[in-house]
Amino acid sequence: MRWRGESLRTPNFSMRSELLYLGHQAGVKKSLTAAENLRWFFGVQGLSFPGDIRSALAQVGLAGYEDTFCYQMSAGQMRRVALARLYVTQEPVWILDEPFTAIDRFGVKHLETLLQRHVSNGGLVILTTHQPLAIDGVRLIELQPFAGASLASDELVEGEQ
Amino acid sequence: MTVETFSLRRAFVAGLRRELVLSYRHKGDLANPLIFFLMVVVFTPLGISEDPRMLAKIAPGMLWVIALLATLLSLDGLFRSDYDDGSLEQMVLSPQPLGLLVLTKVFAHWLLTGVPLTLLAPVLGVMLQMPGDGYGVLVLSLLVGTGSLSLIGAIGAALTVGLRKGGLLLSLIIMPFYVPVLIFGSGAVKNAIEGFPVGAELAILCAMLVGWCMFAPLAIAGALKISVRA
Repeated sequence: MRWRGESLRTPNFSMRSELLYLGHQAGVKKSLTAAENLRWFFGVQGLSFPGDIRSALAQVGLAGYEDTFCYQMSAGQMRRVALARLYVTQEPVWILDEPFTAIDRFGVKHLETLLQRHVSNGGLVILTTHQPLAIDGVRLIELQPFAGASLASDELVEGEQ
Repeated sequence: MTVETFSLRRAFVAGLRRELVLSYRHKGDLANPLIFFLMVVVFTPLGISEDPRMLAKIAPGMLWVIALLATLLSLDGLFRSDYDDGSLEQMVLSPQPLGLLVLTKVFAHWLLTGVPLTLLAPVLGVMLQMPGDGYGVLVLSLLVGTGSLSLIGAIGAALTVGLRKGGLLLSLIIMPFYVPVLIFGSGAVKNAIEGFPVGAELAILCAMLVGWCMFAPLAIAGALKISVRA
């Protein structure tokens, strides 16, 4: 597999600096506050937080939670702390592992709008999900036929540039 | 919103601040090795002998061995929580070199385990009737030696982080590498007490620290990549 003409087997600096990965475990530390967690996501890449933490958290419905410890939050709220990155980040490639887990219906709609906007701005999103998506122009790969006796159907959705 | 340049220094500072804040919020974990150190030294005269000459004789070796074991005690969790909550994945995928990011963690570990042990050691030396000539060298050798101990231990911790019960394996992996540090560390203190020169031992301890500083980040990064992929 190649990205901008270079093999993905040996990922270099520019490849990694263009990638945002949100795993099944979101990387949110329970004993840090929401703001500290968000700052670290960018700090670990060598960036300072681009923009306003308050408004990023407000985007995911966590306004006023900046200084709340994540162990005081529900699973969905912790997930949303990690998702708040998406509203300020500049990476073009997003790889999201089940971003809709523990997110309510309203949040899903909000997130879908964001993904749509990212793709129409020239970004690329690869995500797995158990839910049907209401986004136009996705390439969908049903994993059910490959999964043997799997119970749930995973879908791989891709928004092309 | 302007496009920002990536900065290695910022990644280092962000990582270090996070480690320090986290350990400030888990003060119990911080005190664990120190209390272990204190307990063993308090029990030694009770269990072995209250004879001051006997205690003075074993003090340098005892202090070094206990400091080593106390470091070992604190290593198991070094990467565990980062592995469990997914922040290790974020570190591996960061554009910054993983070796540097883990060096931040190891540096924080040394700052919060090695340095306090070093500062506590002279106090406990008094409890073991250690002769006065040894204190300076004890502090110096521990300060340098615990750096090597943290670096070596982090390699073991990185190798075993993916295993549910990695504690025993961790000890087995790093024990052989701890031996030279222990030999030269306690040797230096003994020499100082007996009035021999200590320059050679301290120089070797420093050389080991420099060597591990260069080699360990690569080994830790490699081991973590294996653990995360598995």
